[in-house]
Amino acid sequence: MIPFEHFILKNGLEVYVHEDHSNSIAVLNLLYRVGSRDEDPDKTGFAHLFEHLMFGGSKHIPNYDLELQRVGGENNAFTSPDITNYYITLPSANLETAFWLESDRMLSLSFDPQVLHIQQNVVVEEYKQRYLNQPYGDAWLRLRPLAYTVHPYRWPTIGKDISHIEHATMDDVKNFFYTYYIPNNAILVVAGNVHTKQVVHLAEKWFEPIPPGRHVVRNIPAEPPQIHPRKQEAVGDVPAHAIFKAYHMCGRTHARYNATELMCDLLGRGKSSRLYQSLVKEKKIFSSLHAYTTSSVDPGLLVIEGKLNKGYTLEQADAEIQALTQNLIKEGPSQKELQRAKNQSISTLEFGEVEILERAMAIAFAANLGDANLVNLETNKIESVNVDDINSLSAEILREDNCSTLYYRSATST
Amino acid sequence: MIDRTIAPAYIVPDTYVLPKVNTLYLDNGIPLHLLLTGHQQVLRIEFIFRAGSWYEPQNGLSFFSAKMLAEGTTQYSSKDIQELFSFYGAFIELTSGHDNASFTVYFLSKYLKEILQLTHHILTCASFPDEELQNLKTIHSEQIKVNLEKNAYLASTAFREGLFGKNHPYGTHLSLEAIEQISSGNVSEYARQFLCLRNGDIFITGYCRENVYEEVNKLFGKNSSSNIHPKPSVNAESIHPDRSKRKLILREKSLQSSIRMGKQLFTIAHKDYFKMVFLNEILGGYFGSRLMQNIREDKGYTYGIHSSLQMMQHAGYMVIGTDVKREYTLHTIEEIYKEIHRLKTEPVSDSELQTVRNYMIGTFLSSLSTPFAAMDKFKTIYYNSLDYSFYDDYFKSLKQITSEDLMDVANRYLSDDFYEVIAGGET
Repeated sequence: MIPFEHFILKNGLEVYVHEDHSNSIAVLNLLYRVGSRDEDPDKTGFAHLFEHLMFGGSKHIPNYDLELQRVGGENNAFTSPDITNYYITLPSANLETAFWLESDRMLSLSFDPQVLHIQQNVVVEEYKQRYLNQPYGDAWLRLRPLAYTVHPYRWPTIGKDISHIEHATMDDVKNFFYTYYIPNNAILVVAGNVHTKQVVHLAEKWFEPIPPGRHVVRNIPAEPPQIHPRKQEAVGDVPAHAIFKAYHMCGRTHARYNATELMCDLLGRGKSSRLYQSLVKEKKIFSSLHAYTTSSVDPGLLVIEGKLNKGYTLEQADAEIQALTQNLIKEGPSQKELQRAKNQSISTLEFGEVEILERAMAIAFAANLGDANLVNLETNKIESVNVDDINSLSAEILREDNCSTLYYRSATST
Repeated sequence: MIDRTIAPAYIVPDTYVLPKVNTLYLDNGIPLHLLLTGHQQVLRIEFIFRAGSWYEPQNGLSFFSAKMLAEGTTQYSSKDIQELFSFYGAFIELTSGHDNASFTVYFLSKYLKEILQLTHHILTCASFPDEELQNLKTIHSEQIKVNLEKNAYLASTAFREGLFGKNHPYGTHLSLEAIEQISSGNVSEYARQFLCLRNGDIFITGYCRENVYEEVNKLFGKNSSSNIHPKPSVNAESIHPDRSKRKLILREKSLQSSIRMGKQLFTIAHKDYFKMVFLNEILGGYFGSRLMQNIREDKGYTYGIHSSLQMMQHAGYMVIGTDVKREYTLHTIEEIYKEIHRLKTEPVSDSELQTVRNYMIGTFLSSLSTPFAAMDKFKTIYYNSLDYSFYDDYFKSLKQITSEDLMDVANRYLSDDFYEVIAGGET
């Protein structure tokens, strides 16, 4: 249970407060409702590049990091297909500094061309470090456009091509900022050793003077249902063949979301899962194999990913995965198996609330889905899933017609 | 209108709160360290054995002995064990490090009794089935093959190997050749000797309403225990470290080079440790560090560059690591030495000193904010034979260190002949 208070400023900024006085630290989490799904197909990677620019100085404060470090604070940020999230941890006595810093960069950035130039280079190196210079690093660059034909989830947050980042202009930057970085497109959560009254005062002082922007209207094309199997092959200097199977599933707010997650868990989460026990342990076809979901706001993907042991072909491995998913459809999970997945899931939630920052983020994510209180309903939702839910879902999702398969062949392995 | 150019007033905290761990002894003498606090209904139990690579007579024994604990007992199969743990919403970790090996379970507090029984059964009745070992050997060999394609992995392992020597317990890494040599006979023998309760400590952290000591003592306090004192496998001064200055692992197709450079230092008990922590922070320990500002923020050569102190029980070292645009590899190394030279010759300015001081005080406070973190702080002092005054001294040092102190340690410990490893290319 995460208790919180809630209010909205006149400019539309939603504010949540979660008090926890067991420590002398405070957390400020600011979520902007913008991610790579909001990007132009010809200017991908922009939301993430923008996250880097947010640290390059704001209208009245040339060096964000330095000012925060001076008061004992630390910060970071991340970009996903759906959101961009910024967070600060600092001694609670210095909470006002966090308000000063975050409100100034919401008001306006410095738009320094030198900062843009450097951060373009940094992001290009990040692209190489994570996606090009790693074995299998480009798998997701291939898988997304296979699974999505029209929805912007078809490119990764880093962008679909390095050139998009290299060609970004200051006009693009300004445009993006004034469209999305506005108080009425953001959610602020303040947590830790703080008092609601104090947060109201600080929010009114620092954030309320920022003018609201035009309401963000999204025209994101819905992904049409997939009707045929999709396949792609890649070859690389990798030590073993790998397979990726991505099935379309519902989005985060759908009534069947929790059931889908549980189905995914019992298929391929951890060593007690079906995929691991059968294909890694018993048949020894894979050296690693697991299933996970992308947990996105719009309809997402359930992915089965594995690396093959020597002596097996990708076709054999694929057939084994299909036989196993067919078996789940036919026989369904036992009560006990489902309860196990539920207990794991509930335990994960509980552990995910140990840190104050994690609690603050959980509130922000729930608010982004439309109701912050969802954060406290999750356990009940998980408990209420039954075997029939899983059975109808598995038949619907785990079909080849609904699946994009990527064979990642090793150039050296046989 | 507020004036946004003026920063709000701030304070530098002058105290910190670190909940203290309570050490008790079971009837048979096994130490039980308890920290029962927190809000979430979760617990972590750790069994830590003095059984890391420091003690192993053969590379990989510690690693596989730890992993094999959950692969079968006289009563349960590997699958049974996995299913039992996950039924209780529990997550297990079996790890082996340089000094210790550990068996950790994260679980919902309401299952305390069940988890104690299961872990006790595993620790007393593990059977090390050969078939499971073969399976694990295959799985980890495949993982290593993937790692061997990663510059960062190649550079890090080669760096430690060069620093301590290939056969030194801190210089080794799990290799494909070592995995070949592992058999169930030597794994179970190592586990019997080293991963047993009389060679371990129990740490329990989190929220619990029950009498934890009593529940643990009922099961784990029974058999008589004589504390053994395991001897290291080697008498370890560094064994044949690499005397050359630079090692190049050429990777033709790499777009980036992984660089690792540094030197051996001392353990955390050394009188200059706090000063070196502070100096390291300035050089490359945080986002505002000199290296990050120079190599990333000014030049854009890299996504990140870090410097850190790695401290084990018997030795420690400093390492600077980064992945940079290949054509700037040598220039980056030059710039790193330039920054080191500055630390040795120019006093750190008051404002930088103040920023780093306050930043480190703030991050120290926030590093204590969960019960698990507080237990980890205790483990650090426990395994280095220190007491809680270590943290008082650290906190005091953060407030007191001067630019003279920093220049002094820079001149004594930093040099321009660091051992360097490049995985990628020089040009």
